[in-house]
Amino acid sequence: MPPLGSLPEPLLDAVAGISSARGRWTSLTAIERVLTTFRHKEPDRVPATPILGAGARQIKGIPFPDFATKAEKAADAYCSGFEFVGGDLVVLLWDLSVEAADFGQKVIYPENSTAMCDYNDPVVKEVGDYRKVKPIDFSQTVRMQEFVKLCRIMVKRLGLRTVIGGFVFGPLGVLSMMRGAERLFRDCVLYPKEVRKACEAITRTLIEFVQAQCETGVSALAIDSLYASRNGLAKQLWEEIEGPFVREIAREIKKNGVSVAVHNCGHDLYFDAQIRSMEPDAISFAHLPDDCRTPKELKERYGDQVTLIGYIPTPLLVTGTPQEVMTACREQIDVLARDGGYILAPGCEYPPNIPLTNAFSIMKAAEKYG
Amino acid sequence: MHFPLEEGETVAKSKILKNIEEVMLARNPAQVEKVFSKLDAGSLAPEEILGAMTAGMEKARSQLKEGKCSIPEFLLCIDAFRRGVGQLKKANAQVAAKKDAVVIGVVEGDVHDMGKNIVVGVLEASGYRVIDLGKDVPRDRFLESLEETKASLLALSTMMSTPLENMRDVIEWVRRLHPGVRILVGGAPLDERLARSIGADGYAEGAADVPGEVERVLARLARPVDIPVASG
Repeated sequence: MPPLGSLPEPLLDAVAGISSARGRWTSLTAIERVLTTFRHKEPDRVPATPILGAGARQIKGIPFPDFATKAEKAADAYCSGFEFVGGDLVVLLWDLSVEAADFGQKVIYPENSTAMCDYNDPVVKEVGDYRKVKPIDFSQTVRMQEFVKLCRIMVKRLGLRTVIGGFVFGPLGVLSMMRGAERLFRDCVLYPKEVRKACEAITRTLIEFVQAQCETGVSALAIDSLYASRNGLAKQLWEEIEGPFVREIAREIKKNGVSVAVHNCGHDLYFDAQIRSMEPDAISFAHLPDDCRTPKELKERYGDQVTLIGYIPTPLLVTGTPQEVMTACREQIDVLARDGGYILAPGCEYPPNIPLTNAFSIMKAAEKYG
Repeated sequence: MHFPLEEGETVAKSKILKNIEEVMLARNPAQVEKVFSKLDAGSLAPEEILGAMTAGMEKARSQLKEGKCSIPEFLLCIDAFRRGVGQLKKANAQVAAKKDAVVIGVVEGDVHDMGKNIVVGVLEASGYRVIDLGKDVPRDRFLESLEETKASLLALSTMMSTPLENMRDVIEWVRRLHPGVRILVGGAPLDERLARSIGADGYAEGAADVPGEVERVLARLARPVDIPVASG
C-alpha cells in the first residue's frame, strides 16, 4: 500500500470508492481491502488479521530469543505465519522491551516465553535518575535497528501482498520498562515533572525510531499507549504526562505519509484522549473505552473518526473452540463493520504458545461473515 | 489516646478517627506520620485506629471500582495504610490480621507483579494475613508455603499468556496435595471461563473485586463441597 498520507484525500476517497464498488462482484486484494476500510467504505469483506507475532515462530520452530533479536529469523516467522494463516494486515511486534533495551535496560530472553525486562535491576532506580535519562544515538542502537531491519525485510517480501505495520512503545511505556510500572505510577502522581523530563528524552530517540521505520516503506505504524486506560493513569494525568510526546511521535509518522494506529489493550481505555493527542487513523483495542458501554455505542461514537481494530478476547482464543471464536467474530462484524472502518482482529497479540487453530478461525470468520 | 491538634483543645474521638480515615485517601503517604505523631497513647485503642484505616481503604477501594481513583492513586492509598500499620507496630500495638491466611504470588515465567502487589494491599487492608511469595514463583514454593502456613486460600497471578500452563500446573498440584485450599486467579490474559478451565475456584477481574471474591470462595470452603481433583 502506498503511504496514504502522501496522497490527496479526494484521490484516496475516489480509489476507495472504486474498490468498494469493485468489491461487490470481485475479491479485492488485502491492500485494497484495508485502504477501503480505512476510508470508511465497505470493502468486499471485512479485513482481518490474527496479529500473529511470536505465535508464528511455532511454524518453523524458531526459538523465542531468536525471534526477539534476529530480524531474519523474525521475518521467517512472520512470513510463514502470513503464508500459513493469512492476514490483510501484518503487525510487526516483537515485545515491549525493544526500546528499553537500547536505553540500557537489562532484558531477560526466556526460551519459552516473550522477552521481558528485569525489574530487579532497573535503569531508573530512584527519582533522581529520571533526569539522567538522555536521548541515545539511534545509529548505535541494537534492538531498534534490528527491528527496522525486520520492517525492511517484511516490506520487501510481503509489501505487495499485504499491509505491513510497524510498532513503537510510547515513551511512558518505555519508561515503565526502565523503572517498573508500580514505581513509575507513584512517581507520575508525586513527581510528574521528573517523569516528563525522562519522557521528553526518550521521545527524541523514539522519533528517530519511527522515522527509520517509515523509511522502510511500512504503510502504518502503531503507537502503544497502554497507560491511557484504567490500567494506567487517570485520563487528565495521562494527557499531561504522555499526551504531548505521543502527539509528537504521531505527527512525525504522518509527516512521512504513514498511517498512525494506536494499540492499547488496557481496560476502559481513553479513546477520546488518545484521539485528541494522536489523531490516529485506527485504534486497536481489547476492551471497550471508558465512555462506551456497548460495541454499538462505540461504533456510533467513534466509528466515523477512526478505524476500529479488534477485539476478540485473548482468553477466548485460549479456551474457545473454533466455532465459539467464529461466533464471537460474527457478533463483532455485525455491530462494527457497517460502512467500513473496521478490521477484525484479536484485542492483543495472538497468544504465542497456543495452537494456531483460532488464528484460522478469525480469518475464516472474516471470509464467511465479513 | 487523645489527639492534641491544638494545645488544650479536646477533639472528639470521632473527628480523630475521621482524620485517620481521610489520610488513607489523601494520596500523600508522607502525611501519615504527621497524623500519627499527633496521636497520644492512651485514649484510642489500636483496634479503633486500625478500624479507621480500614474504613479509609474501603472507601479507596470503592473509588477504584467506580473509576474515581486511578491505580497510581490507589497505590499511594496502600502505601498510606502500610505506613499506618508501621506506626501502630512502632507503638507496640497488636495489629495481627484476624482473617484467614492467604498465600499469593505471580507464577513462574512472569515478572510483572504490580497487580499482585495491589491485591496484597487490598487483602491486608481487609484483614487477611498475607504471605506474599513475590514474582516468578516456582510451583514447589507455593506448595511449601501452603504446607508451612496452613493457608485457606491461594491467589495466583500472571499478566502474560505464556505462563498460563504454569498456573494450571500449580493448581493441579495444589488439588492433589492441599485439596482443602481454595484458589483464586487473576491477571490480564484471564477471564472467568479460562479461570474455571484451569481449575480455579474464583476469578477477580480487578483488585477492587478481590475481597468479595475471596469471601465467596472461602464461604464455599465452610460447607462440604465436591472438590475437583486432577487426575494423573
